[in-house]
Amino acid sequence: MKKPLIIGLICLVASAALLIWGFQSPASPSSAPQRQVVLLIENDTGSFLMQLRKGMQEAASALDVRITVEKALPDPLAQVRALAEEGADAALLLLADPKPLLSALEEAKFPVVLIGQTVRGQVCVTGDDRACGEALVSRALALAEPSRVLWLTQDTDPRGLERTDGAIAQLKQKGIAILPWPQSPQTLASYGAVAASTQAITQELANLKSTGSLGPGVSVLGMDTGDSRVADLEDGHVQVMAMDSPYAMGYTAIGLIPSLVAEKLAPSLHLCRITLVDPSTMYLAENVKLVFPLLQ
Amino acid sequence: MRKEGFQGYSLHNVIMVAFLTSMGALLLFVMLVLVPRVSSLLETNAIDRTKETVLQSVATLDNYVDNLLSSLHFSSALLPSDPTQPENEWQTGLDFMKESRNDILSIAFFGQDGELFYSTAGKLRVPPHEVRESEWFRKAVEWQGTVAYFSRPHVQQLFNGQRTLVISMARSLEYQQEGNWRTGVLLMDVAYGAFSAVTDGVSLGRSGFVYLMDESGELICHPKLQLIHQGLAREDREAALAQTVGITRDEEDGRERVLLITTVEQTRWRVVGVAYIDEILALQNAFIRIITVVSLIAALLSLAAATLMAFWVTRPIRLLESKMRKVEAGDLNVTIEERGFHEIRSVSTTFNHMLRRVRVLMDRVVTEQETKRLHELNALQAQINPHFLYNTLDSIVWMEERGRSQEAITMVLALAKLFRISISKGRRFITVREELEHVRNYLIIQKMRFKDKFSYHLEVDEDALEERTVKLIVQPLVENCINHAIDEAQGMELHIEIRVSVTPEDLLFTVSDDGVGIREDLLPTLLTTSSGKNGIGLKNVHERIQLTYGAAYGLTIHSVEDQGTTITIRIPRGWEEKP
Repeated sequence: MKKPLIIGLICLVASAALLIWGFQSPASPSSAPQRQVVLLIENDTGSFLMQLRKGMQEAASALDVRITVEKALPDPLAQVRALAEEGADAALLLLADPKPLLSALEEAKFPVVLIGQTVRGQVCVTGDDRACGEALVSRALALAEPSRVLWLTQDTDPRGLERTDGAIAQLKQKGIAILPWPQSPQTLASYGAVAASTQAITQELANLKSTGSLGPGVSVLGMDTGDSRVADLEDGHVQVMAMDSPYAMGYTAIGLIPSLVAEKLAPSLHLCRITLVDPSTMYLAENVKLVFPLLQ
Repeated sequence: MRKEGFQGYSLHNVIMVAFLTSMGALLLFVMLVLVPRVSSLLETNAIDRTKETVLQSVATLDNYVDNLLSSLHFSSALLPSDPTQPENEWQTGLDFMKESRNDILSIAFFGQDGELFYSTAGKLRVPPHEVRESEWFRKAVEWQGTVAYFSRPHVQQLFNGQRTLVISMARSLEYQQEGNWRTGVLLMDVAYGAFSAVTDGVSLGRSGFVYLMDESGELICHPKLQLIHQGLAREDREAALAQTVGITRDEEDGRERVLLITTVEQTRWRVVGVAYIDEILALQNAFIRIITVVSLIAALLSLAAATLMAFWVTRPIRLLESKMRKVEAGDLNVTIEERGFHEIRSVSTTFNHMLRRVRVLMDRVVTEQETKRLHELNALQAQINPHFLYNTLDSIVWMEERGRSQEAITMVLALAKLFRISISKGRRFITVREELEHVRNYLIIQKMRFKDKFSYHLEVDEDALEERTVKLIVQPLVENCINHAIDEAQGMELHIEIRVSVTPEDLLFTVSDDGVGIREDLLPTLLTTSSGKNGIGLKNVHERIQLTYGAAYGLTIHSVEDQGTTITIRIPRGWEEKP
């Protein structure tokens, strides 16, 4: 076949290809497959869950992820089957003891993210407890001399132990007392600042403060006391409160989904900032959603 | 030789280059002139539309703030000059004002020391000194007059039971207490949601948004406020803080943004519209993409068209060229199809015509050469005429028998010279001297045979002797004279005069006799018909001369009956023999 005819044919074919490619509509976001994520919970955890879902939704809208919230089934295998039937692409676990379900999900090679706790070999999103411990000790030292600062620990709370780990360098360096919980009010009252590594300890300390068992000279620093946090801060039962951000956890967790589903995410720990709030800062806009999570 | 213009270049390539250059120039004009202009217009248009959207939201916020200020001032107008007096109509008025609008959450009036005179939200839960130390209180007192202070968003916790996210408005007011004028502060808490609703609904493109910040750069409203507060997102406010009104650009995560900044006068808040350049310019990008694609397609189609057109135009020329090469190689039987463009058809027709003429001329040349050779052969043949030879030899024998040896030798010698010059080693051209030698030898032989039947005289111009002539042209004329003399003389002696002369251009041979002449009606036929009786004849000589020298030369016959005949041969002088 003559060369000019071949050249002409090639040009025509290339033009046609360019025409098709050049004028095709760009792929719309809706045409990409939507991911479905199931959040498994044990019970409705109130404001924490509400803020967690808000954070998840904020990320989901940008990543085209659909979220459903379900109560976890007691039978792990049944749960795995249910997830498969729903066509879920990944699961987020907000459970006190996720291990039984984790085994089943691992066996089924189902992508999972753990919320609010750390399990080795898993993708986890939780508060930065080590940094929280450090920050609490620093605030305590601002309120009292090192010799009058007490750090209370609780072996049964893994997150509390993590906070203690974070605080340990300063505790040792400054010669701060570290005692296990419980301790008597008399012991506690001898300190100028008492820092609690867990919510349970903080609640107890707040109660002691409210009944006057701890004098006004004892500053209480601790973890978020939940529904009574506003009263505890306003009434002076707790001077400094460390607060998780479930909103940030939810946002971060959903942000991991694309990599997780594409099997490009290795087991890892993703930490969210924990904020220290006191009565002078509790009403500021940046802390509103932490202190008043139900406020619209 | 220096090439001029496009001479020496392939026509195919010239057409291709011309076509592609003109298309390329057009595309270049489109890409370099048209596209930037239209792109710029699209960009300006897109930014203008974005600006309008932002200004609309500013106008909405302005109106809303004006509205709130009206409510604040109206509320302040309700206040009595002495709020400590027991009358409470003004309190009812404040309640009514608060109830009349969903966005106003509380209205309260505080005295100079921070004491609460009245609040629609109930009792105060903090000591007066905390009120006095509040920023809103201090600023309101500081900005004495009708200028209102607008706080940042915060949770209002002054009153029992109320925990709402608000933006507080405050202005100072003069009142009387126990006869003294004092400065109090009217506080109006507006639901934060009412402000955020103004900006939340505004979208600039797919990702763009509007946010509010105060004079110091603290965010008031932002679609990602919570993320920013949690450290999960950031908003670089540096560029927006640098001016109160205007348009500027910055970059975030590799995406260029345009910031449209304006200020709400009453609150001194900046309204910042953030639009992403890649979204604003989506239309521009689509336009550029389309133009680029179309240009590429046009370029490809031009290339195809140029290639095909060059091929189509030059194809008949190339065919013509290939046929001409065949002709050049020697094949004259080529015929070119006469079709295609008018000019090509014309050239093809002319070329075919030329080839036919060449073939005809070549055939003619071949024919002429053959005729020449034939005539020469005939002339030679005539020289070896058996009768002439027989008669001559017979005469030689007779002489010898009669003891006339010397005459016999003379005749033998003359015969030998006659044949030697006839053959002339195959040469076609001999000198005039040789031609006349040939005639002399012939005349010697014939004179010895026919003795008194004829006489002859030979007169030669010396200048003619070395001229060259085609051989065997004079002797046939002399032979013709002698034959007619013998046949028709009727006993009278014929005199033959042979003269050779020259002119500047020509060589003339004249053979005259005083015989009976030739009938006038026979004259025209003498040079056209062969005379079998008289050897090769006058026609042979005439044709040989014309074949050799051209039609302008040859024999001229002049004859008068009973007086004689003169035949003149005219040939050119200095003739270059062709190899």
